Amino acid sequence: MKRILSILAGAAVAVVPAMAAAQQQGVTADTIKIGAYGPITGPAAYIGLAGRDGMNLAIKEINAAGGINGRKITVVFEDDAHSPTRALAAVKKLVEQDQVFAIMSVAGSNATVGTIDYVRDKGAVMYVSIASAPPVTWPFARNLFRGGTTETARYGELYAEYLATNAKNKRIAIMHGREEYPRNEGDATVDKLKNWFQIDPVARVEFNINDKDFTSQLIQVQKANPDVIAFFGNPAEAAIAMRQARELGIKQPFFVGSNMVDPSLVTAARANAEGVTGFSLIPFLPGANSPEMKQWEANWRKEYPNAPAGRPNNFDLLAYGDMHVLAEGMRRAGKNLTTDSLIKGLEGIKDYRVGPVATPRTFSDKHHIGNLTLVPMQVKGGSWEPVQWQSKRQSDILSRYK
Amino acid sequence: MFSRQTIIAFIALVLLAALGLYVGTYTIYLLNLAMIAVIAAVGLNLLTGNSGQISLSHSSFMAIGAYVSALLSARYGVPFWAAIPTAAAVAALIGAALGFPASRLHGIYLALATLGFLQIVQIVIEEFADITGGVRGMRVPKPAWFGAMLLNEYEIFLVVAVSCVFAVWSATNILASSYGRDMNAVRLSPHAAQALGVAVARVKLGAFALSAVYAGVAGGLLAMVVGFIDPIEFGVSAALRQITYIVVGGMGSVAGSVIGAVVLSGLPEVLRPVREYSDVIYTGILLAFLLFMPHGLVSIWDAARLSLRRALARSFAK
Repeated sequence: MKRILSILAGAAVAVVPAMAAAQQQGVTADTIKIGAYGPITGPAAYIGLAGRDGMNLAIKEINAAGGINGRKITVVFEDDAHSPTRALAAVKKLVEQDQVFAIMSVAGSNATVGTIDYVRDKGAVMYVSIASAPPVTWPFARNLFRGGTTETARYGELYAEYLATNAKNKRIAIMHGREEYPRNEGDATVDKLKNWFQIDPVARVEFNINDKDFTSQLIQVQKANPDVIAFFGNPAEAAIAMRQARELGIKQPFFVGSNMVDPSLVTAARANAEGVTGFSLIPFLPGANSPEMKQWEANWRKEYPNAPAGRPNNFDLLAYGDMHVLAEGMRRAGKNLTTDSLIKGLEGIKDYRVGPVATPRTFSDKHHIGNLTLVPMQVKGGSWEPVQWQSKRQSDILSRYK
Repeated sequence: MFSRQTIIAFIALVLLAALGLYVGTYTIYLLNLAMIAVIAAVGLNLLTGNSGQISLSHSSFMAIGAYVSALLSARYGVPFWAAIPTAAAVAALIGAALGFPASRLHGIYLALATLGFLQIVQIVIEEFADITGGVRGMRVPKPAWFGAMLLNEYEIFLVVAVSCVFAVWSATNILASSYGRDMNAVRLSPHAAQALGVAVARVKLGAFALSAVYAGVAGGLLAMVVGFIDPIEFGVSAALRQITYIVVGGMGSVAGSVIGAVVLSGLPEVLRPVREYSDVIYTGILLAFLLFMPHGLVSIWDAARLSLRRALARSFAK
């Protein structure tokens, strides 16, 4: 009798974890189904299409190398058309209809924020690659992680420190768009200039998305006689503003937000972009001369031979790097892959990156901000080149997570 | 005892309530969005399809409804059942205020004036970021009956369903009333209507206020269902989308508003499998509707109803 009982107990011990694994939504004996969403239609499609393609390239590499602990990754991608309403529909479909294990967001900030309450309630892991909106990481939620982009406040810290240390007379002018991302950058930079360096911008002017004329804003900036003009918007707007600035006789250098540290700015602004500085979320930009980047681009082009001009872009690289980070978290979770083990796996990641084309990611059980590293760059000879500069200040970002 | 419309409305509500019990929350969410689109389209059709006034600012009244109800809930803890009617009343007042100058305009000039109003609303939302969240948007608290007594997904669905059925029922009754006939008379010939004693300016102003009420309710419900609002959701694209609902569905017809809103708000979800080509296919379908069904999708419904009546008449004649 005792022997039968011990056999039954042994069988139960063996079966329970297997049952738990079998019950985990989106995970089978040989596959892990993940969901992803981003804008692949509408004006922000350049973000989502690149995010999707970069992510798919990483998944192909991971599966070719044997998958995650014997399981291959499959992905269901949904369009959010850059709308919070559509994004919530996409995520509900992924979770309830497609029954995915985890979600990857390659969406913009507002679309991602629109899904947060639902994802918090459902408890599935959502790994956010591109959106920089603060609610992703604060208040802290155990199942929400941010990868490639950093906190808006971190942009402010680095921009302010760089501008304050490089502007000879501490005269800084700020031009920013009225949309969410550039306004966040402008606010965060002004905040840190004031609180860390006691500098008030000599001018702060706004413009609208897709504006074609910046004359009135530039005249205000010119009157303030700054050492440097910090410009937060989109590459197309920056290119026009830089040309008009030179036409108005404004010779001061431009500093641009991280989304504009991209080959498209140099293509659009041409000679006017020479000397422009900014921070990059990735160590090398597509088109850079480093052998690692050339190899990565060759791999990308092999996968997408008919890609349009301007691709691959930074979003391809961010999503590519972040898919590898999510896969690393699943690998560390072990054979018994559950939401809980994935969270623990991701929280164990310290300075992990798939290769030299990505910045390192670090998570802990206190915070889920993967990246606080940005690389300063300058346009020299028609391409973005790294600048030798190190931040000397301790970031304030993590202090609230203690 | 009850009118035919009231009985149909009651049956529709019972069917919707039953449907909500058997589908998942993803489908419930899509049904909610479709019903909210119906409320907005019904209101716009009264203004444009019946009283003949082109409006490119209907989404702005949705924005007013969404932001007023969201702010009342978030800042003052007002329950949804008080916040949404209040928001609709505010939208109606602003709609009436816009109706004053708009009643002197028509055609392209009215379209431009309403487009200007849309831009003003967008700028106000963006510039008063401390209150509205600006371009970063605003998270909306979960709706509550009272205090901490929150609504679940099914209860939210029922609220939207009741609002939608009431919107359709009320619009049908308005059109059957003398005021509805006045609206159609103003559209067909303002001069003839005036000669017959219709107060044209008052009818136009009333139509603006009335359509704003529907849009305000739709906006308040959208904020409640999505839980997040931003100005882009109520921009010019949304205004144009609402116009396509009533044009494709059938101008001046409540049934057309319902059909157009349900078909066109659901089409992007149906087209998910074609991914980045969905915009092209959506536009193609839209063009096909306009080319081959110039009187709207409702013409199929009307034709089917006519055939049925003839068939019944023939069978009785035999």
